[in-house]
Amino acid sequence: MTSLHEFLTMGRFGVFVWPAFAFGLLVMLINIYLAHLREKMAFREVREIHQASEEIPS
Amino acid sequence: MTPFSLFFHRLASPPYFYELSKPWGRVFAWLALVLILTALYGGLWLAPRDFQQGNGYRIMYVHVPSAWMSLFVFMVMAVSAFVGLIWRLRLAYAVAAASAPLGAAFTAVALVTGSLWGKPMWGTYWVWDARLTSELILFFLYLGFITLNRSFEDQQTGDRAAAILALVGAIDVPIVHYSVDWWQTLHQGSSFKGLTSEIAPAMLWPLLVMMAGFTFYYGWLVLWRTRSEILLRESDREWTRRVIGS
Repeated sequence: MTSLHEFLTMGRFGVFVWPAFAFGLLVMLINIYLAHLREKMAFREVREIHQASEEIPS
Repeated sequence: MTPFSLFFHRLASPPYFYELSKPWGRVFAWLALVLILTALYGGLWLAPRDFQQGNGYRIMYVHVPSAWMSLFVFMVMAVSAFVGLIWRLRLAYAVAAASAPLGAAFTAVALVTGSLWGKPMWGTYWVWDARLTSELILFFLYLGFITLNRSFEDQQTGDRAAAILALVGAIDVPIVHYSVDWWQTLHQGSSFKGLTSEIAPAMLWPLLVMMAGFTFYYGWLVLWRTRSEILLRESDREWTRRVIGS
């Protein structure tokens, strides 16, 4: 890169380059969030199963 | 039993894997972050402009690693599916199930960024050539795997059905890779021929670093997601009570 202006505009390709990187970043962040959600869901389900088994009179 | 095979036998144990994967996940996450940031700096700032494609070629720093991961993750799924079907390891099914959404995401990124590169270079966002079409089929195979895996009341049935799809679908991986050699395609040839590349070193190193970063990113998330899948599959076991309690 020769200047900040060239970096920001990517020559005449900024309209293609920046959305490509933005989409890649967005998908990566969504993947992290979904992994977090899946873990929370798994913890909740396992907790419910163990609580239910404790409530069954032996 | 050698220490190596003993390690793999222990690794197949869900509680052992659950505990071991946590610190390794953190290591992979930090490696991914450092490598991806380094590659972004190298690819977006340090690497010179291409004499034909100008700065448009920089899309390859997100496109090529995503495309590489889309193939790599499906092979991981196919191997896990094979191990699961033959040795009936729950852990192998969990790895395949954890990998599928990540592979689908990488494939989507490869398709979208490829289109964004195609418009200024080819004049169109999409052509039905062999590389693009086989990559799109790979995306549908990922979606099919995810759907099939979650379509059954009994998780084991879903795991087995999806595993068969992963094994059959793995035939698409070499088709995607070699499509540019086997057919006349608008898509350019492979960036790598074995361990060599025609890309200039100043442009190549950020690409290799980004590919390594994406691989560690996948490693981090697949370990994280596999832990959740194991918990769900082993929810009736006593060791999961300890995990929930901690």
